[in-house]
Amino acid sequence: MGRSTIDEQALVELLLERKEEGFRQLMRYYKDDLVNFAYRIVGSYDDAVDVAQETFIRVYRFIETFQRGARLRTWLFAIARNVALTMLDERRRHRTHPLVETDEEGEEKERDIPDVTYVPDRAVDSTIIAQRIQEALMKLPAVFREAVILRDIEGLTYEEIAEVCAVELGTVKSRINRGRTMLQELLRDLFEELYGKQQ
Amino acid sequence: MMNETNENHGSRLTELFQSLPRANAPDDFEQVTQLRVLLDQLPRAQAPESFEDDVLMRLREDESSRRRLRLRRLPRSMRWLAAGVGAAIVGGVAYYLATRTDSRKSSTPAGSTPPPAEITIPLDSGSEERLAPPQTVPTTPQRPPTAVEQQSTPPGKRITPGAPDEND
Repeated sequence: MGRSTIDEQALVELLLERKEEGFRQLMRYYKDDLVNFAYRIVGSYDDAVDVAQETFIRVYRFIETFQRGARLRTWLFAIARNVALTMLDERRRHRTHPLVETDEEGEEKERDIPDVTYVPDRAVDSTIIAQRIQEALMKLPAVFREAVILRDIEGLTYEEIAEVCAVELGTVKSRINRGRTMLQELLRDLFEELYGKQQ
Repeated sequence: MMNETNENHGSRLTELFQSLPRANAPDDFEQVTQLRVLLDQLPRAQAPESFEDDVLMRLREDESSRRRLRLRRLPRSMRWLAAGVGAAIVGGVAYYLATRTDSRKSSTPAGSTPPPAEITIPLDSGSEERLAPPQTVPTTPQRPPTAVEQQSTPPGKRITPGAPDEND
């Protein structure tokens, strides 16, 4: 990522002592990653900043629960993911009534409705291509969207993603593959425009 | 000798490698790569300049509101405690007053007048004699004191028998 490495252990010690300097250091190092990750998940810059801020506030509040030896980065992404998904849930509840469908076994399941009312944030995605990609991302169900974003945009390893999303490694791989396939389908027109008709 | 052996080993190794199954790219390899390139080229959203200060401010507000909440919670328990203590005090005072009134009532029957205070009457004998309250019906009428006696012995003045009068 082209930035200096961070001594996570020393930073955790500072955070545990509730030193402001430690907290500032943590923010300086991770704020952009978290804002970008949150932006790609929620699709709004202001909401993304809010998610990132809330993430750091939770870190401050619950730093005692951080297990020494665990990775601070994955912990931060896990918190940000939870905050972002909660925000999406709230947003969805305010916009639509939850739709319930019955599966083959007769069990009622809430449908994961993609956000089709999304309007791209032109301040961040200034180009048409970026806006179309973000629009496509927003149409993916959240579980596939987060997997693709964490892998292909934030560059986390499969193991790290499994930790962040609290799922098995196999689930991560399948979610990434399915997410990519869905995204390709959604971006078919763009691909044709950019690379010509493909077989 | 050494060179021949090395050459033999090398050719065997090459054969071995060539016999390994080949891992081919998946069918969608190009598309996935293109997609990843596109995703990688997406502009990165950055935190605003005031981000850190905003977070610290929110934290301070959060802390102070939590403190306020704690304070608000504390008086509630304190209020219960104070109410309990207050009730106990009021109860105690009420009980004290009630028992005090009762003891008074028991010594003075309802409707009767309080007993008259003890009366000290100057006596000729010179010794004070405590008298019981005067009886309403005296058995023998008492002789009223003479005028001389009244003058020589002002009320309350003690007369010691045999002692000279101060006026002499």
